[in-house]
Amino acid sequence: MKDKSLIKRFGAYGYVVPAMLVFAVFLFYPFFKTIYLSMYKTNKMGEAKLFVGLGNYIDLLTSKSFYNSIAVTVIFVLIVVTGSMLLGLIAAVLCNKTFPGIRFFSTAYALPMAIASSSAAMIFKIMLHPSIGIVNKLLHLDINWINDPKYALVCVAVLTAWLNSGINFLYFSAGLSNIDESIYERASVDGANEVQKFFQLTLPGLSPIMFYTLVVNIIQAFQSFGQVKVLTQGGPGESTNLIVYSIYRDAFFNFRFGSAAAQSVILFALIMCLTLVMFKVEKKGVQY
Amino acid sequence: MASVSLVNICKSYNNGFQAVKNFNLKVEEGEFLILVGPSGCGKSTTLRMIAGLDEISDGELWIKDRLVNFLKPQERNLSMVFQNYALYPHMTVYQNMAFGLKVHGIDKDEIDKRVKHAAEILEISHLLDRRPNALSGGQKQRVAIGSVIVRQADLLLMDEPLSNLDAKLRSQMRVELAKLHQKLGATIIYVTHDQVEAMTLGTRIVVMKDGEIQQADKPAELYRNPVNQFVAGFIGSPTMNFIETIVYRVGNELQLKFGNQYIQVKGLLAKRLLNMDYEGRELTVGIRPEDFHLEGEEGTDIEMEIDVREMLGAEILIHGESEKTPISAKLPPESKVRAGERVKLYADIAELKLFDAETGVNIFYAQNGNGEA
Amino acid sequence: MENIIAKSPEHISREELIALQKLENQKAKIKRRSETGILIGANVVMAILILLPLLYAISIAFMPSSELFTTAMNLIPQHPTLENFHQALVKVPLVRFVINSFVVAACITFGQIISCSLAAFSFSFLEFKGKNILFMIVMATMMIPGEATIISNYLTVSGWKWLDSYQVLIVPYLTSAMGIFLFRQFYMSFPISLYESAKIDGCSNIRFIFRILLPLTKSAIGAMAVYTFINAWNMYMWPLLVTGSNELRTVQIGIGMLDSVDSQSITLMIAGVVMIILPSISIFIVGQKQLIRGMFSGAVKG
Repeated sequence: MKDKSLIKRFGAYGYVVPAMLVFAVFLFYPFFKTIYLSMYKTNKMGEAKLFVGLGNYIDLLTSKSFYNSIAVTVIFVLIVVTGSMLLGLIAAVLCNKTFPGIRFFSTAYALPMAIASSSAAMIFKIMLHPSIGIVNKLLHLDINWINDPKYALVCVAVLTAWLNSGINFLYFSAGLSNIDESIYERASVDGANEVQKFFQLTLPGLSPIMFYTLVVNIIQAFQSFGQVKVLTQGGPGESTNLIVYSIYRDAFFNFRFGSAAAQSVILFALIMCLTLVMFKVEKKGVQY
Repeated sequence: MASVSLVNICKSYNNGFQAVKNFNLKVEEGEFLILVGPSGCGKSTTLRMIAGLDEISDGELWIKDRLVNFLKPQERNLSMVFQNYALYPHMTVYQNMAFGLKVHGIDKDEIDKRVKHAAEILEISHLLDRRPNALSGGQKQRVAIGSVIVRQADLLLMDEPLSNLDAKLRSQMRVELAKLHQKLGATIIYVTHDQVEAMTLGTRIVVMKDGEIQQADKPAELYRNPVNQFVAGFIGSPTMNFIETIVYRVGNELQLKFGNQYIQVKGLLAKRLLNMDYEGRELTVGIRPEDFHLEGEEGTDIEMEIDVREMLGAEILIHGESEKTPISAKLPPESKVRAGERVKLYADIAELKLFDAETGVNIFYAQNGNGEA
Repeated sequence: MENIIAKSPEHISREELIALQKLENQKAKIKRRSETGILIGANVVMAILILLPLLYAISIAFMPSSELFTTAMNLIPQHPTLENFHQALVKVPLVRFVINSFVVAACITFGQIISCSLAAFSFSFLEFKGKNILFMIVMATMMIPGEATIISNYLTVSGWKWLDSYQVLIVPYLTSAMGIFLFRQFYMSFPISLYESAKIDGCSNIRFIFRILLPLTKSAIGAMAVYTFINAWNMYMWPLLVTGSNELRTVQIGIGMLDSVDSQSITLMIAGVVMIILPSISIFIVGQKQLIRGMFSGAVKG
């Protein structure tokens, strides 16, 4: 009798234990440990040795390299988000009306989401190769895309936009199919042409999913790593040294775990603030 | 205001299905025309072809002396209320109503004037800043109608506009639609599957079945003088009783026999049936529930067993069977009948409808009708 | 044109009308066809643009490396060869990597489905103290980017001497907030009476989950499985940090071994890339319908 009531009382928790255990060990604990580490100087083993308070942060905020990382990351995120959302939107609009072969095309548009960033980066590496790459051949250019600080960041960004466009296509397609078909009929009876319908019905109709997609895209873009590692290693110079890559380099090449942890915390704060701001804006903007 | 002519309008699909067959009709200016029929009868398709939302497979569509078959919806100068209202979810009520005017490039002050005026007529002035999601079904309905009114189009099309409302609101909106038609004087073509809506709103009703017009007539005429068994059964509630009988001659009289019972027919009516050679043949007798009475002439009575008695206040409905044929009757509220009883019901012979059992045609339609079919 | 149409019915002859209709029907047909044509054309252009990297990779994978090194246009291999694939398999233990990735991705997928559905069951059918707060905490974890924890996680697992093992690749990913959220969304759409009547019939919770709940949520599980498997297969940063030996490298890291400056090996590398992309793409194509139905139909409204 007693046992049974015990199960009744705590059984419900039992089902969440596996999930919560993993979260606790690999998410909550390391999250707080990262904050803790960010206030210490560490040894090569990553053990906290010397408390420096906000020292690591102050070091970062006075270092040119860190500001460069931030600037590079912001530009990168802007290009990636704009590019991938535009690609996804165009593809979704193209597949909005049925036509013969639509299934092939919609699979094609979603496909990049199944491809690993590292594999994609290797392919792009060849495509962007200065002498044998198809990009230079097709465009009749002679640009050393990856080794030129002017172009390297754009290349990584375009690659990332391509990778992320697949899932955006699915989001936008779902968003489009959610728009009531009859409002288009009403609009054409009301006298609207196709352009008016697109800008006055389709785009506003997509705005809720557009917002969600925007948030997801920004978070995702901030976390790009594999493509940088494979394609540019943060270079040339520091022109593609995104924060995530900088964290990786500081921690696992320079063994400055404290500084890397501080950068992680700043990255987290940045994403957090952005998300909160966007939710605030959304509450004001999208009202239905 | 506009007149609309449909000449041999057809709608067929690639798989060979014919949704509308040879539809011929002239809708006069200012008419409130109802297209009514069971679902799948082609009424909505017809309306959508008039609107330009569905392509016309064959035939001619004239609006105000213009052949519009090949014009886009926006070029036909008409407006339409959709079954689900089709309000733009991201626009306020005001913007919803103004949209059709805005895309036509009408100036702001004029739009403002028209929208406010329409809102006043429909009593939704206080809702102008709301979005559709914050509206009740009835309010959405008004906004949809408001968007149509402000257009001041020649022709209003309505596709089952009341079907998403609850019963009480529906009857209320029905009255308002009728009022609105009088006020605007516009030509309205209105699709519904609800015969009550059709009867109360229409100046003329087109009953459709399987893509074909069965009958196009004034409401009273449809009720009094249906062209066939389908129309007779479709119009009126509860539906007309149909009794399958065989015609026997007894002297100068005829007996319409079913099972062990019969209805007696004498005089002119009997003579006409004999002239038409119906002796020994099958006839379906149609009697409206309201044409049964508890007293009457001997020989016009049938006996039925009451299964259910419904007290509706102003009247009593009884449902039951007579010789395995289901029968309903509408009786005065003071009638003392109970479920489980057997009663004698006297049919009003003058109101009998007789249908050829094979073709379903009302055999006296041409003779006593003055409809303009 | 306009003035013919504007003539009233009485002023237009039968023949004129029929001719007019024929003409207009023809026009309408051509217009419709050309509209579809333009749409398909635009789609073809877009699809080529999107698929270009993949098509190019496939083409190079079949190219002898001598053919790659020309300045001339070389979109399609002149003398297609399977040699690259063969060489890639010889040069690095690609099969081993594929097996590793497969084991890891399968375990992660299976583990996530179990842990997420158990947690979601508890969150949607059971009542317990702190349920809402706990659920909020789970949702909040979606806000923490992996990078904020990866350093500490690395230090933790290296402290445990877990580096270079299967468990280090699998265990940290055995649950996901998104999975819990997705399953909970599905479970919430079931009436609570489903659970209550099973209880009255004497069905235990575990039995209820495996016999009733999981079979009913096949589409969510399908979507989750496709999504999780692909993501696990494509995982990069974590395996890069925690594996060092050939025995435990996953495909994404292992393929890097082919990525060298040695120009002769470019075709090998691409052949390898094509081979490791193939499994994730196949799973995606097979599971695409499931994925869309399970994940995006609900996600939009949420």
